[in-house]
Amino acid sequence: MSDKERHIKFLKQVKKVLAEGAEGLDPGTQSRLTQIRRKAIESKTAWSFPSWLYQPALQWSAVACALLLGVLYFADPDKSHYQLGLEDIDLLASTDVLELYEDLEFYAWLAEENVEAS
Amino acid sequence: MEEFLASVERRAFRMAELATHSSDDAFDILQDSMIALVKKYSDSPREEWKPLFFRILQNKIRDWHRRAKVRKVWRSFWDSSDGAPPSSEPVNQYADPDGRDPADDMALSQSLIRTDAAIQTLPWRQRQAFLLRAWEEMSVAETAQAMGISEGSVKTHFSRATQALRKLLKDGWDE
Repeated sequence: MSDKERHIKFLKQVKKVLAEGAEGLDPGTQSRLTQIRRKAIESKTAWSFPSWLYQPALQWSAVACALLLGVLYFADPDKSHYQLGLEDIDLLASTDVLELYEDLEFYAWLAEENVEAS
Repeated sequence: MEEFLASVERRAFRMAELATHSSDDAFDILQDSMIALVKKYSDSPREEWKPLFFRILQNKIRDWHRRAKVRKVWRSFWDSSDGAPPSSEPVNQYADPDGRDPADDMALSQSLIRTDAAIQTLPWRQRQAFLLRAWEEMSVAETAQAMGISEGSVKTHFSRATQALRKLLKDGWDE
């Protein structure tokens, strides 16, 4: 047998085995394949939002938000409240305030002790 | 269209399963491919459906491989940062990752199991070129179109795949 004949015979054998595997799928798998096929066929008639509109929607929303913020900032002649915003952030970031809240119970107890002592 | 899909669904499912080693992922890939074909190409001539469908299927399989690669990189990163082995549960070392019942495998013929195992060892381009050429009997040009590569590359991948499989399967089959 020539190498070409062996090659053809080999390919036929592989094809036969693969076909056996595809034909011998269990009923559960076959049932799911049927469901998938029907769902695909139904998708033709089902209306869906055009993909070219919704896919880049998030990116366009982000760009629109950035543009809007830019326009609002530059259109506002009084930018002092933006400065206040930064100060607020600084205040919020301060750890002193957090420590005060954490020790609030202690300060309450201290106040009671002072009242009793006086 | 339904008739066409019914004629290719089993083979397409098996191709996806061989590529992903997972029935669930194969179902997902097949569903996405079928929906894409129906939505975009229902009005195309019938003779174009087969190359178009397998082109879509190959793209979905390629996307799956890309995502799997990214997942693998992340997993290896987290595993190395944890310092723990990937699976410390002894039972996980022996469980079938696809969750298949061993009885199902018993039902398959031995040659099918061996062929599946041999095909799964191939690099994915070789595997896809082999399955499309040998199983779907697509021409070199059709396979090149489906895989989005040159005809020369198809010939190379197919030749290497055939050589590798002949070597792997020669013990079981008379040559």
